[in-house]
Amino acid sequence: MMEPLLIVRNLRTTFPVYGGLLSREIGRVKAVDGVSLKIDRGHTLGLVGESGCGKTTLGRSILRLLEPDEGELLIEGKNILTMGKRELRSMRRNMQIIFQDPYASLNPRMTAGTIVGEGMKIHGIASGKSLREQVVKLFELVGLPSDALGRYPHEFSGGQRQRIGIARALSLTPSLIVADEPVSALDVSIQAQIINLLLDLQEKFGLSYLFISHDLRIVRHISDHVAVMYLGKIIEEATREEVYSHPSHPYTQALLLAIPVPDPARRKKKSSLSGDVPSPMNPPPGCSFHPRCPHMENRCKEEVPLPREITPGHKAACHFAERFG
Amino acid sequence: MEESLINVRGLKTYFFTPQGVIKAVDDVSFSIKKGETLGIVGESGCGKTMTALSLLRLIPSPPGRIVSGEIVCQGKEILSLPEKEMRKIRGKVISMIFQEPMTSLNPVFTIGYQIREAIQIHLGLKKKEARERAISMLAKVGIPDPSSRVDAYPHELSGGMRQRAMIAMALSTGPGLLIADEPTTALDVTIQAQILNLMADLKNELGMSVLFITHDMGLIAEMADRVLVMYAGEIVEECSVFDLFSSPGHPYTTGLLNSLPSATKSNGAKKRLRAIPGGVPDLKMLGEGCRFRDRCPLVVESCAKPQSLREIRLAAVSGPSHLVRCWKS
Repeated sequence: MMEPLLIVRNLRTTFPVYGGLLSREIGRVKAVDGVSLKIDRGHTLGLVGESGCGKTTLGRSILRLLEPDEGELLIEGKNILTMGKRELRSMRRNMQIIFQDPYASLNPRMTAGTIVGEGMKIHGIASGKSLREQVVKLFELVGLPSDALGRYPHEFSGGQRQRIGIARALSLTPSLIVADEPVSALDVSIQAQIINLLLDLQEKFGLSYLFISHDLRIVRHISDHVAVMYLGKIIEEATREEVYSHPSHPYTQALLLAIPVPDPARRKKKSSLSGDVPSPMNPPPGCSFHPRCPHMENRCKEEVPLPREITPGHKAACHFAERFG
Repeated sequence: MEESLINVRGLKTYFFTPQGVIKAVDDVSFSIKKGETLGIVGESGCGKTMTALSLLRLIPSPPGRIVSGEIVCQGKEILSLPEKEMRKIRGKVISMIFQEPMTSLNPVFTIGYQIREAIQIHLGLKKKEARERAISMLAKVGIPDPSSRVDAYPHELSGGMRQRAMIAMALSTGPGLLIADEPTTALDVTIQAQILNLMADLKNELGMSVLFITHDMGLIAEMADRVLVMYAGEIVEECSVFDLFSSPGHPYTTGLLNSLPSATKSNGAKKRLRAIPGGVPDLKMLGEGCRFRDRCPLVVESCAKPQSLREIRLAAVSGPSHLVRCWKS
């Protein structure tokens, strides 16, 4: 079997918390708390969770846009965390990111053509006329008119801006793209266009995606595997079919039940979770989900559940996962 | 026939900019019955929020202006009321909750003060009684420990709690119509489910009407009795929520439904979605004819002629009438 493109082992990223009179460091927020996962070539891992669960931090840590505290990050067998600056820079060609907000992630003073061509210029892949030709090709690939090259970001609609972001990410022919909520800011009819584009590009270039989203409907559509995150930890991971048809963690079950169903005949009162997501600065002891869990028992308040295999390939971090799966 | 709470006829709200006139709401008519939830669904810029703000006469002016139309609420014609009378309608007869509770609550006053303000002005209660009522409203919307939370500032509450506080404020005067403009868009799904449950419960308990505005077809299916689909400032379809999902009449509605990833079936996964090509037209350069025709799969020459809303099914015992702005349906 082929080696996975990306292997993440026990990754931990924390942020300092300052407080007190002298603004000294008084603690650390564990935004990513011991995460392990892998992505196969040409596959998509959907990463879902609610705001503040650490999914964006995880995505950025994987690209080393944020510096993880510990763990292992292997892309094509090479450990990124031990790389020096120069080596990392050339490695970055292999891993690119698409951001959520197509308004904030494009420099308003640069033309679309310059934005898309910048990476190739910096990495010395193309310059002058050949650079221009490459950029025109990329524009065609993502469905932008070629006369858009000289236009500035504000002249484009949201969907078109996201296409520019995708062209920029593709320009260095990466093997891994971290897509951080790439369609959340877009209207429904445009969302579908961008999802289709991402699927086409994956088929064409064998791309792997880490697809970060809070929208379980879209994650179901685009992913091969799905990982569910809660307060810095992956609490369930399996193939898409497994997660959606046999969710084994009570949190995953609650998330799935909370999806609004576009069918008025199946309208039902939601058995929603009570309470809010606890602050990651001060996570509850034991299972961090226990204060909201409808099946909580005494053990959950004390003992942290470790992720374990419930059925082959299906991991869940719940003491009683077998009961729910 | 059931009595209607509010009747809107021929509403036109335009924005006059140096670049041209934006027809944000263009000849919109509808009514909301007592106790009914009317959903408005559409994408950004389709005019759904501007329609709601027009009901409260809160259109930013300049550049916006309600050009023509008639809004009759409880026998009063809102658009011709003097401002002083209008203030008795806002927050008393018609209340509104917004998408982002943090920006619509005043950060320098406690939530108790802000709820009390509405109660004192509209119901004429004394400060102490108003505070009691504010506490009981906070309890009603499920805020734990309401008698101490009443003195909390908005930043001390989570997003879901803030939206609950907004709902408490909006409902504290017992309005006949609650306008909810994307009330859960800024919230996580588990919190969204809590807020939707709460809204449904309160609606049944208080018997008010709701105008529920969203871009999410899933939420429309969960919440609405009847639905308006808006596109580029116009209503393109109006029908019961069941008709909308079982027999959509307008190609735009069909397109919206088709572009949703399936929430229940997994066999459609990793396949291309049926997206609607192109983007929304520029509202400054609308000609005659169907505004959806550039993106429509069924377009023919006569779509360039003006289209009007037609009844494709008359109101019957089984439900309200079904109107579509497309001559092909």
